[in-house]
Amino acid sequence: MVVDLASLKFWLFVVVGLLVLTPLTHAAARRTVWAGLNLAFLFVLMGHHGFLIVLAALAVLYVLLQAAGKSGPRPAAVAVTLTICGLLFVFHKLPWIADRIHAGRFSPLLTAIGYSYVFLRIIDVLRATWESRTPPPTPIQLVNYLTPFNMLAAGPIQAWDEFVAQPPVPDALTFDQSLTMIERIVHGLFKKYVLAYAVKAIFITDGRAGGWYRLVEMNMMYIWLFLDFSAYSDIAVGIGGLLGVATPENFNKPFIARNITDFWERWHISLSMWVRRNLFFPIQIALVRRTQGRHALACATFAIFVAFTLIGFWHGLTLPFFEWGLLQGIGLAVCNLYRYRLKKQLGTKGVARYMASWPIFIMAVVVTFEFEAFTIMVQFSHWGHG
Amino acid sequence: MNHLSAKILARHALRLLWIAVRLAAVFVMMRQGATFVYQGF
Repeated sequence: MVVDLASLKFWLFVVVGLLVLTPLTHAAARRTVWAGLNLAFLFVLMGHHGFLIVLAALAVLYVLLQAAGKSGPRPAAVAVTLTICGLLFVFHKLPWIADRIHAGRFSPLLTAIGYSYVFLRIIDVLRATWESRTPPPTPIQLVNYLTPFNMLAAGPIQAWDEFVAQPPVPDALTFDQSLTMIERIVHGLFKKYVLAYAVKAIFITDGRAGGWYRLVEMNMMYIWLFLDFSAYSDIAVGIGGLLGVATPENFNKPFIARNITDFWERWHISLSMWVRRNLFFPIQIALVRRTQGRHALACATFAIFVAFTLIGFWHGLTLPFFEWGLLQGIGLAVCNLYRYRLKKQLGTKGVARYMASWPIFIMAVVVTFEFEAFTIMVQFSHWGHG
Repeated sequence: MNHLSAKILARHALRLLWIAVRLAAVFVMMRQGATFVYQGF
């Protein structure tokens, strides 16, 4: 019960989506049909039993979000929503706990809907509702935001504010734009089926090879991960573009990142944006307030460190993922301090010269590449065993 | 004008050909048993 992007059913939904959504120029009709399509996809994916459970969960969430948006019972509704969704997240990441309390049958459903991504979207919409930035979502908005079938498998994680701000009826695509979107989908399929498959078959030994080859494998593992993961994003963005459903970009040439901060602006962009919105900024602001702005650099560095260490746990509640998150947190914190020191020592003009230097750029790119490859190697055993 | 149209047509044809080539490679790999099932995060 997982999304299979190679299945005829999946592509049938894309074709049906194209046929029914393209001629629709009425905003409400478009939203309703898109929601119907997403629900139908869930039904086909999970069968009627699983579908009813997910539908009931969406209904409960809808009621809680309505309560969170009202003036009276807000804190209780937010606390209940966070507790339930947080528990489901733990069940999803540690299925043995769910098994122990006889809730094991929910695990395949959570996997099928890619609950890790859904969980982050729930927090985004909950915050917007709690802070009264937007009214609570309608049932149709909730379905379309949490379970869009093109983003179900592996994201991207769309921001609630972006979801609300997207044009209700997209502009009709030109032939050229349509071709670009089809190219994007085909590029994703090619990356996943041909390039990633070849890299894995030729270079990856799942740690069986030792010695100097470990270094080669470390680098190839990083390249493989990029090809594999960005392929899903390419397909999701391509389908979204064809159907007129806003789908955020997730990758932007991460291999040429010159430092860890730059890397996170190029790799899994929608996740790093989520981290900024919901972890980094709130932690930083709270710390700055508490210290009355006396230690701005320390507050920012600590906030980055905590936010990205936590994101390791989002990937998996295991030691290898914690170590990966910790390394990202340390890398980002060091990067932040180094940038501050550079500015202090070289001045604005000196930093501009530093940034324009090609030898420094190449060295920075190589160091960043190797650091990221190393962090992936740290949790290599986890990836290797699925 | 005609020259411009021919250039655009040729560019589109090339793009379509490149799509077809990549899709063919994908189908070959599918026949080899490559799968695209996402295990879920």
